[in-house]
Amino acid sequence: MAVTTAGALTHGQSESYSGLWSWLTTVDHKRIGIMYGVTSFIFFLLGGIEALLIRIQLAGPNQTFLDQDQYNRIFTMHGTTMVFLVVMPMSSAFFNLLVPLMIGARDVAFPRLNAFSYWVFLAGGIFMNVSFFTGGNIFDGEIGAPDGGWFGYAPLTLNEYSAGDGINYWLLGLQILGIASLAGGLNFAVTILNMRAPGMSLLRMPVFVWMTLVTSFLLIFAMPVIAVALFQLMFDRLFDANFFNPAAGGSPLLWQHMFWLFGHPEVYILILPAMGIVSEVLPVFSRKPLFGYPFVVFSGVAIGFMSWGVWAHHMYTTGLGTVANSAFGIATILIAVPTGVKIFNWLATMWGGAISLTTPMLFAIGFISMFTIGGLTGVTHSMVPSDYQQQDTYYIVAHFHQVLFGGAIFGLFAGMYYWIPKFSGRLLNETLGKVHFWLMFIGFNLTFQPMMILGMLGMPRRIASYPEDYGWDIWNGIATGGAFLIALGVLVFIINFIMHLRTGAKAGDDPWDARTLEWSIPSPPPHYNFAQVPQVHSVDDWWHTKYVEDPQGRPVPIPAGAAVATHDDGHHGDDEHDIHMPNPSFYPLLAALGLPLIAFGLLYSYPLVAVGALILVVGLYGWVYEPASD
Amino acid sequence: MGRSPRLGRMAFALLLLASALLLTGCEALSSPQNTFAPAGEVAEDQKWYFLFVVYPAAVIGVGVLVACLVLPLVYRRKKGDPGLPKQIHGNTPLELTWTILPALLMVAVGIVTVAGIVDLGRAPSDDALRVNVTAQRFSWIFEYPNLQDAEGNALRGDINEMRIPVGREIGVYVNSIDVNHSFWVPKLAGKIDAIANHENRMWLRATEAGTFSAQCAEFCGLQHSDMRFTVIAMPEDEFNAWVAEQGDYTEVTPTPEPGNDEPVDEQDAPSDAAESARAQGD
Amino acid sequence: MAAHAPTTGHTLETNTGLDNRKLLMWLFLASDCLFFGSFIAAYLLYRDRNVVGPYQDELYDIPFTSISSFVLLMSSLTMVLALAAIQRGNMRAMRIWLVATALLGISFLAGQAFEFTEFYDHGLSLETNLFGTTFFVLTGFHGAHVAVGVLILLSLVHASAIGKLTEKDSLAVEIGGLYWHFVDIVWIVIFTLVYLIQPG
Repeated sequence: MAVTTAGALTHGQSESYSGLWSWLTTVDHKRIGIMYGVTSFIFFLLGGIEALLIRIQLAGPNQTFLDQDQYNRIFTMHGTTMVFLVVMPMSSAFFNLLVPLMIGARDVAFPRLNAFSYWVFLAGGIFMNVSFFTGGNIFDGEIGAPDGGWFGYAPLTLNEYSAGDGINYWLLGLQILGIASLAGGLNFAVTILNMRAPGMSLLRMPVFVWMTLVTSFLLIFAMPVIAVALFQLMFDRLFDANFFNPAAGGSPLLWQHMFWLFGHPEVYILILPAMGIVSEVLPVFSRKPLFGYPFVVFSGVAIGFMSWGVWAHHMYTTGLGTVANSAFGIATILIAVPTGVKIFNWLATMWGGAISLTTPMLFAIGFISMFTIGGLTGVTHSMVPSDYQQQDTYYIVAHFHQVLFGGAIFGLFAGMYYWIPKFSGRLLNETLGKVHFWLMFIGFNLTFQPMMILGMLGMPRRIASYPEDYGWDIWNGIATGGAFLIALGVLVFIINFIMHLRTGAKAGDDPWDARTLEWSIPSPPPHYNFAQVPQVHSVDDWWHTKYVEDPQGRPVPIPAGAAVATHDDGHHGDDEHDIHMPNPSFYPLLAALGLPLIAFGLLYSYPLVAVGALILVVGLYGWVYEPASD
Repeated sequence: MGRSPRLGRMAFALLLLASALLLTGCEALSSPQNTFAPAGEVAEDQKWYFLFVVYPAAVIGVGVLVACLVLPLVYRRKKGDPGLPKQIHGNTPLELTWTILPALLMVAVGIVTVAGIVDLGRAPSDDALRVNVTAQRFSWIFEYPNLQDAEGNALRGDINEMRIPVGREIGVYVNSIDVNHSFWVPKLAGKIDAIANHENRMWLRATEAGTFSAQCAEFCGLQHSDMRFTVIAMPEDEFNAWVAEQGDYTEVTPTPEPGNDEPVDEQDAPSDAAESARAQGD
Repeated sequence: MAAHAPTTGHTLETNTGLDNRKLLMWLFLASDCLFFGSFIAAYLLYRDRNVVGPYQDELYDIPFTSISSFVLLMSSLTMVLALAAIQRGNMRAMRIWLVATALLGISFLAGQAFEFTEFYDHGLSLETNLFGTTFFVLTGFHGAHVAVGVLILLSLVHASAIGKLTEKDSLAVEIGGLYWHFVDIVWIVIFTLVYLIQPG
């Protein structure tokens, strides 16, 4: 019955689903999510290779595998890639794939804006990496990539000290990427606020959706700040302005304040989605609801607000004065409180559960353990006097990799193992998944725990080589070994992913007996998502259509026929008419193309700026005037 | 469950072992930049501030790690188990407890943090020996404005080499003439950044004689990793002898800097220069 | 309770009751507040730190800028009248008021251009000092926002003229109005903080 209904429902569809053109013009959030996922994963491999190059160079003292210039460019690109081209867009992949499904919607609020975000991201990522080739002959090791660090401190990034186009590629690339991120933040905020299924009040949304909402607001307010900083740097570099010019009275600290005012909310943008994923995975594989849903939600919101008040903890050693250091120190110490609440609530979710250690569950537990260590090292930084020793050392490098890799990346992999079956229709191989997890977990610890020791032994960051007899050799060697184990783990994942597309077991609608709405529809979902828009009665509504609780609070399965009756409450509005899905469109792609042209034009030829602007405007006009759906 | 107490004891033993290793191990590891083998009062204080936080943090950390290990094993879903545990939704008193207790702990940390900031961040005292440090790409210049010759020229040390007397408070005043750098002698004190148009200062005091390895700790470009220097702390008489070797320098009582204790960025605003320039009708 | 899920931002029921596009514009404007706020902060931070001139008190012509500010303020009035017109179904009046708004906006921009060239002729450019840098970039970005606004207004007029914008599309004019009023409010803030409150 479902199949024929689906056939009847989709006869009005105008988007064909095969061929390259269908991908270039898609406005379907699921396809856009897949594109974000694949693209960000490729950048993950690129950033990973950059990391391996760093680790080879630092495996022993006084090495010359990379010269200083190459090293500075590689570590700049590693950081920039991992933050902006991997974790952020991979989180976007999950927003795209899951948010409409979890709230019972058919798509996001602005499907074409959604497509635009993806194409702009792709354009920005490619643009920034083109810089590798602009330094001369890349096969002679002449790299043109930016070399100012991912944080680009002025005045180092001014022309006087960074001649050439590297920094220009960096700042223009980030501007392009910033547009994609801002558009995404706006889109998902509107989607979540406006398009929830009937009965889904805010406090009945899955935690992943809540974290997406908070992240979206952080994006909306943080991206403009970095955009301004980058414009200021651009004006200094391209048009001889004085924003960061000390000779004219400019303040290098202005750059740092602007960058970190963006930068600290940014790190919460990086971690909150992964925290949302963990909040979904843990209950499913513990067979219990998330412990303390309201506390977890409000902690996330609190973290979002508090993230605006701590930025200068990246600047304790810049001489801001006693009052500033104290104020930011206290604020930083306090932000540990909502973070800790989440950890304890997650642990309590597992308590008394019936736990299956599937691969997603392993990564989720890995997240909790590794993120906690990272968070605790963060608390040691907030002990400001001791931060004067830790700042700019490998102790800090250990801290942020602990939370961004052991935290965000592990959380994202948990999400991949959990949700890929929903979209490919097939399960990944569990054994390979576990091999991947252990290789990555062991490799990760071998790579980054020694860095805490290196920091305490006084090894600064961002140095291309180090002398012998400083006691650093052994720890660096271990770290390099660990990095290669991680790489092996990633390789196992790639093999698993490719294999599962052909030989994976069919997943079915709900392979994990899960709790949220995306599991109530087929795998992969039909292009219109829900045949009937669900009527939501509680948190974890899908679970409650399968189980009721007995007086002791234990779940009792509802017989299958009854389940349909409860869920289908008689509203058949949508299966009486065709479901109108948005038309595909190439205008988002066209408009997106204008942006890198403008950027190249600013670097090489002003007429090209006009061409890019024209393409952008034409794309926008076409977009505005074409009908969104029939 | 007989397992939990045994695991608990094991965890505690591990904790003791770990902290013993941490303390002794780190001191034993010889590195010329080992922040855990301080030779200066500020570095010594910073080590203890760190440990003040690390111990409770380690307890919490080990607790969470043990939970991550134990919970999935103890509550493993066994074969044939229908997997229908009690659906506990929360426990408000418990959740309030683990919100409020950490908050109180954080207050304690906060108080100690502020005390440390005030103590370590105070201006150098008036009778400190002043060293003006100028950072540039890619070397360090040291001047001693208190040590003047007959014409009032300050003693200038060798490039990349700072000499100080042991046991005496030193006032380090740091400037950059180009990009951001950071002055860092790990065994003596934490770091302070060198930023153009923004003089920073900190006090330190060596408690042992020795030659201490130091390094720029803010990425400053191509040869950042080479921007190293040394700080040589000498007994007072040897230091005086060294000064005498450099020329006829005597120690002059420094005139107190205007607004020595004010936030540093007030001191160097160019507006004063601009004001007087305008007043002169440029 | 309708079981329609909003698919494409059509006027179907939304959880907040606000149309998707209107909510989008509000959120975008919130974002734009931080954009302008950051540039204004830089201007204020650097206001007293110029090493060389020319300086604000030598160059500002407050009476002139007051007039162009008034012009921009009046354009918000005409914008409101345009919205009122479409809401009562008078498309011709709407087009007239939109054109009036655009013309006032263009006059404002002309005033800005005049002011910029005056300052430039008196020796102030991006490179001269902190005042030149922060002033031109801040007011330049504001002017760019006004210019985009003028394009939006004229596009609305064009769409109405070719029949693509009809009575039922008052939301589009309302959203355009939100943007226009925002740009006006930002100018009031800039005029106050940058022109009226001068360096000590």
